[in-house]
Amino acid sequence: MLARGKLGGAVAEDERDRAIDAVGGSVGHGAIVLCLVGFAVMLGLSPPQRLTWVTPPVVATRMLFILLWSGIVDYATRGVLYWRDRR
Amino acid sequence: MSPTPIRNHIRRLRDARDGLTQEALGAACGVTRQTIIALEAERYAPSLELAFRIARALGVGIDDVFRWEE
Repeated sequence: MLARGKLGGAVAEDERDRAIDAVGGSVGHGAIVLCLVGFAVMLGLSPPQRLTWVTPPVVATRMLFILLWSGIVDYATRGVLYWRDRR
Repeated sequence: MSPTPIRNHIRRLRDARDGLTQEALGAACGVTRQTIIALEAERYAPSLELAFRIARALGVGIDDVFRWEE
């Protein structure tokens, strides 16, 4: 089925929307992986004396920030793709 | 979406059918007007099903609507 969720006869979402959603989700997933790998590398390669600030609350906050950031990247990607299509 | 090597004549064929609007063509094919806009700007490559639906809505063969151009 090409279109989903018809509202009052108008098409609410179609295959292009789902394709853009897929690209946005993929980029957001890549952002999560990149940030987590970077964070893990930073923790693993830093000397212990420079990691005194890394407490469990700080790690938890960083993880939540990474989740938020991936969501922002996801929606920003979708916004850019929709903007490019309208140019 | 990035530019696609699939070119089309949707705009010309639409105009030839008594000024069929993008909205009407989209409704006939089950897609949004924005998708028709993206197709005409050749910024989006349709799925095979959508390509056939567009050709049928325009009353022509699929080869008359779309062509591959490297």
